Amino acid sequence: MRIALFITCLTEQFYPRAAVAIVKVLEHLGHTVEFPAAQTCCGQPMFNNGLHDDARDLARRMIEIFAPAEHVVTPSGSCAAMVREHFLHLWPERSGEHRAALALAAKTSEFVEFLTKVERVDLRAMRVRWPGSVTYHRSCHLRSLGLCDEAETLLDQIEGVRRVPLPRAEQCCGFGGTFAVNYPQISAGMVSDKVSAIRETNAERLVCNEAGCGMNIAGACRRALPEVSLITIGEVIAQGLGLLPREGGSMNADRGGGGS
Amino acid sequence: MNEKVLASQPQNDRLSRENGRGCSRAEFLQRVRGALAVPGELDSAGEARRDLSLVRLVGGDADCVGLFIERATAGGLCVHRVKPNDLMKVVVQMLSACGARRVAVSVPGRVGQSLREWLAPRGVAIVSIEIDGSLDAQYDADVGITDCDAGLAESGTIVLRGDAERSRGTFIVPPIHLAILRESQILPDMLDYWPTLSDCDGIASGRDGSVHGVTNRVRKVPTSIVMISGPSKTADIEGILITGVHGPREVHVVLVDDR
Amino acid sequence: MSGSRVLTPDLPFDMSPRADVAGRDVKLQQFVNSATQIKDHGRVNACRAAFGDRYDAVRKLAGEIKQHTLDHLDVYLDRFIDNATASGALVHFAADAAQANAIVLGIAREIDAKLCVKSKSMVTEETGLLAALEAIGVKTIETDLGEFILQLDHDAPSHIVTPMIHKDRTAVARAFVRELGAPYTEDPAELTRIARDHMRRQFRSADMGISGANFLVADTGSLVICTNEGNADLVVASPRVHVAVVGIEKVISSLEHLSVFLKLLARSATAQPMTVYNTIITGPRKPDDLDGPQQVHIVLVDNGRTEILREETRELLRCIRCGACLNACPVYRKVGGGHAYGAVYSGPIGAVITPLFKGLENYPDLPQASSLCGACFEACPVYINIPAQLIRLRRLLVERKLMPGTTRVAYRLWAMTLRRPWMYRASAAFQRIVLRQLSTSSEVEDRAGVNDRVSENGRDMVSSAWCAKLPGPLRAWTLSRDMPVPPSGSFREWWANRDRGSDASRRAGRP
Repeated sequence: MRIALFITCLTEQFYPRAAVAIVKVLEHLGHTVEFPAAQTCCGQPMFNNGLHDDARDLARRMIEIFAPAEHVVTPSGSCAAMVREHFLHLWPERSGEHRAALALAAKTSEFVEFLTKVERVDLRAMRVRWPGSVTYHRSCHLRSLGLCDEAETLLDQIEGVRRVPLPRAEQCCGFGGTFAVNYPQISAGMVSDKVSAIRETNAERLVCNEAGCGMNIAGACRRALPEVSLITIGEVIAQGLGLLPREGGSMNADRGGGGS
Repeated sequence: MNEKVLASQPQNDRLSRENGRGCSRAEFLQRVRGALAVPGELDSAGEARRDLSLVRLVGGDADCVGLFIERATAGGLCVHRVKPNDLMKVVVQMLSACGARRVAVSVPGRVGQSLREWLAPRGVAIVSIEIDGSLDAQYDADVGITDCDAGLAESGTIVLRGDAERSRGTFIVPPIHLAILRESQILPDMLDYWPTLSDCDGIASGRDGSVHGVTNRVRKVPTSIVMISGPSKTADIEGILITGVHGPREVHVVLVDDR
Repeated sequence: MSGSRVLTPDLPFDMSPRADVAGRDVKLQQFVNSATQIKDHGRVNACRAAFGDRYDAVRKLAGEIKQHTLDHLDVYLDRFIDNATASGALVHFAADAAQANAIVLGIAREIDAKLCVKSKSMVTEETGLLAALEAIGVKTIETDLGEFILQLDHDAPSHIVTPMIHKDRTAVARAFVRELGAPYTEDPAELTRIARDHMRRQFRSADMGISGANFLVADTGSLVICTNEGNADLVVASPRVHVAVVGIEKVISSLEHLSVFLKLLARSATAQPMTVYNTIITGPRKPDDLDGPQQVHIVLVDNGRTEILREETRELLRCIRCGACLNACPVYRKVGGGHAYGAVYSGPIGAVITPLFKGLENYPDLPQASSLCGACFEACPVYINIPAQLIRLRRLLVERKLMPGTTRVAYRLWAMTLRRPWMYRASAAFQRIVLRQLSTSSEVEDRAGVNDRVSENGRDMVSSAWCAKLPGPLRAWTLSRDMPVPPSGSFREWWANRDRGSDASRRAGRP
């Protein structure tokens, strides 16, 4: 099918390669990927902070831009939740805008959700191979999408992946968007707990599909646990299929190069 | 303790308004109605028929006695199975084992009568609980003996009532509680307990505060129903579990095989 | 700080000082973290064991039942009042805290009460009842062990269900020595025995028992009280007069529906199938009854609940005070428990209802100090969408101009750039340049050639650069973590420059 990529502002800015990976995987699965260039942001920061007029404008914009798409895939669970859940609360039911929002919600998936619920991939059958020790951080917004352990299931299908479950996985990493900056002490406490949990796993890579969580945890790991680096599941799969080079060094390391 | 008792039941509204303490019923309900804006139609009967089977934890075909014993024990109740003929003997043995000198007995009927006949000659004093409705005498009892209204297999719970023949203090004041339960009283699930209460006419009020001619059938309840699932417990101090905080530290269920 | 000051701080309340102190208190963090996590995991285990994969459906059912009752609260309250009165109870109506206290004080005066024993009632904490009774010379002893200790120690509860999670045994020991003249012991069993003996004397001589209620059953006019200690059963039956002070939202329609909540309450609160004692009381001692109180007074309290009853916030009144949201909340853990919220109700539910009860302008922090993780919503046995309610309060903060002007302007500018793709791209590029200037990491970012199949124009799409110190308002981020520096290669460039031909040939057929 024709899939429009909703890249999200944080992924576009900080982890563009995660988006490249998703494009390559979707194409590998036989889909045509489109990138509506007018897209910017779903308005989540405005919505979460109570600026609902601005949120409405940005939502309206996004609905228009993605209206022609057959299906929309995004790497961010929180942005998917914004479209699927919160867009619907911005307009009264039975209004034209609400109907348009419903239409977009019906065809928008988070990437892992797309792979497991729409595509129903079997990575074992696809012979994805990616040796390495990982632990997976489940971001909070996956709850509202009805996802729980789908990403872990995918990782377990990949030959060579040694996955260690993350202790206290249900506790938020403390990103929360502007929360991290407005309540830095509380956020610091939460991310510190997350780093401790990662330390307990002895894993080398942290797999996390949410750019906000990733920035937060990877940034904290850099200070307290520098040997652990961040990678998204899209990149793992793309690398495991040979669509992206297995990167030389970790994202946190002070020098590049080295074996995989 | 002050013995003064009000001679008559005061009218709530008059009292409240005269002393300026509370507000009237009508004013109070109006505050509620104001928030409801346009109240919808109430399908009271429909609500009463709402399907609660989603919360049923034990079905009628389960081994209710077995489940009851397992879950009661897990909750900290000590279950002793006896044959009917051995009931008195076992009770006396248990009292003697914990050195009970004074017991409070809140067991009606023939079983209660038998208890008194068995305990009196064995030097166990029966605390009198019929004086002026006070629980005071029971504070001196070593053990409280009660019967039960039902047992619930879903949670290993015994259900007691407080009424004309049953005290509200016997299961809670003395430090040890001995409850006599018959196997035939064990029900699968709490949902099965309510129908054992007989029903009666309830009062169904209308939206404007008037009493309807149509009443609804509701359960006739004794003054007190208590569901007990273990000995008195707390974990307030550093999460450490302690029993016997206010209520009894030991609860023994003497389970009579009457099937 | 005395107990009452903890929960009635100066307004507007700034939660940061208490949160910061709590964040640095290692012992407090340990206590609160372990207590809440054990209960949270316990809740999940207990509910899954009981309901299997019906757990969410059961929560929704419980939520619907409560919502229905609230939608028709006038009828169900009317019904409760009639049936309670028919059972011999006296029902009183308190529009606010002052009236609630006045009613109870009036009853105490009428019976010439000198000593009261009390079981848990959060409503009485809202109204400050004990202080009011004290002022007219009526002594009231809290009988729940945790509340008793807090009362002795002039402290305040920090959790709705387990009020003492912030306190350790040595504090209890010292309080007992000081206030009860007891010998010093740190053994919890000994401490409990000391408390029990002391309280039994009070039960025997108390004139009046004051309780709350977990539920009010409309069909029968009954009060339902759930405890583990059994103190409520002594409070309501030992003295001659029993006064129950209860919020109007506690009404449910029938005993059958009560089953749903009794099966959820203890599992959600403390991972037990049931609380040890579930007591259903209908009226005072009847003429035939063996024993029981001669008078039962039920004080129905509004005190701001009819405001919350309005449609936009009505779901909040479904709350059955189980504390599951407190146990699930990572913010609650990090701020060291309830005291940081500066109010009777803490945790996620408190973060929403406290501003509603006490004024959003007085508690602006509470709805903002949340990462909106949704753990509370997932834990709530009556399916209250707390995150949505937090966002609603944040919207009100903006509408009522309670958000600082500079912050609002910043958000609006940000939204403005997001509406115009050229501004968006320009500001992103500007950000990239600034962050690379501020980069404090030592390695070279542009590793041309390493990922040349990813970045055809030789610009890297993976950055290994970091910034350890951001300026201005973003400084707070780098207090505890580095900021990643964006790579120099952009997705849009990559997309625009793709060799679409070679990509097409690489595409595998669908499996």
